[in-house]
Amino acid sequence: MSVSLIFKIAAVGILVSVLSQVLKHSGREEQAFLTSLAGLLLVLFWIVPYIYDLFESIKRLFAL
Amino acid sequence: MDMLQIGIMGVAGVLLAVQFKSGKSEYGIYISVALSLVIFFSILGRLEIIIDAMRTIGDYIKLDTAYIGTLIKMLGITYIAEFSSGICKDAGYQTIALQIEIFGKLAVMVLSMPILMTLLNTIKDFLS
Repeated sequence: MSVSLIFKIAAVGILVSVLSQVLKHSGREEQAFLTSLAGLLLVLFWIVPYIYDLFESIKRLFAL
Repeated sequence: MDMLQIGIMGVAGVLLAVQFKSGKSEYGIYISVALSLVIFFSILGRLEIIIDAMRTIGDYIKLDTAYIGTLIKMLGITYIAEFSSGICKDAGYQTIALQIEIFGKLAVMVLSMPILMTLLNTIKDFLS
């Protein structure tokens, strides 16, 4: 779970920046924006459950 | 998850996040959020032990469990406030981080108000 998450996000980041560079230079601005949006959604899709677990465990542990 | 692993993972994550400073800086922020989440989950294991110890100590000295409970709640509130305001600061939004910190302080104060009241009442009883 732990370290692979960080490397996955880094991989998506590198991929998206390369893709958007290529798309920008080939004149397709919208696709470049769409790929960065897709990368954003993918990373958020991974991170949100962990944030939810974080706050759930804080609530349980500290009896908030 | 001992100290060595945490340290190495932190440094590796930061070096990875620095790559994105120039191009897509939002991924640097995602990596820092993911890294703090991962480190937090190992903090949680240690915190659980400390809180159980605090509870048992509270039972020994026959202290009212409400006080220990509020203490632990304050700990939780400050930790969440620090965590989220730190992330906002990383992202470069100082004002939002300040708002979160102010709310955290007020929440802790509100939590400590009843205890303050009981203290003042006991003092009043002594004096009168």
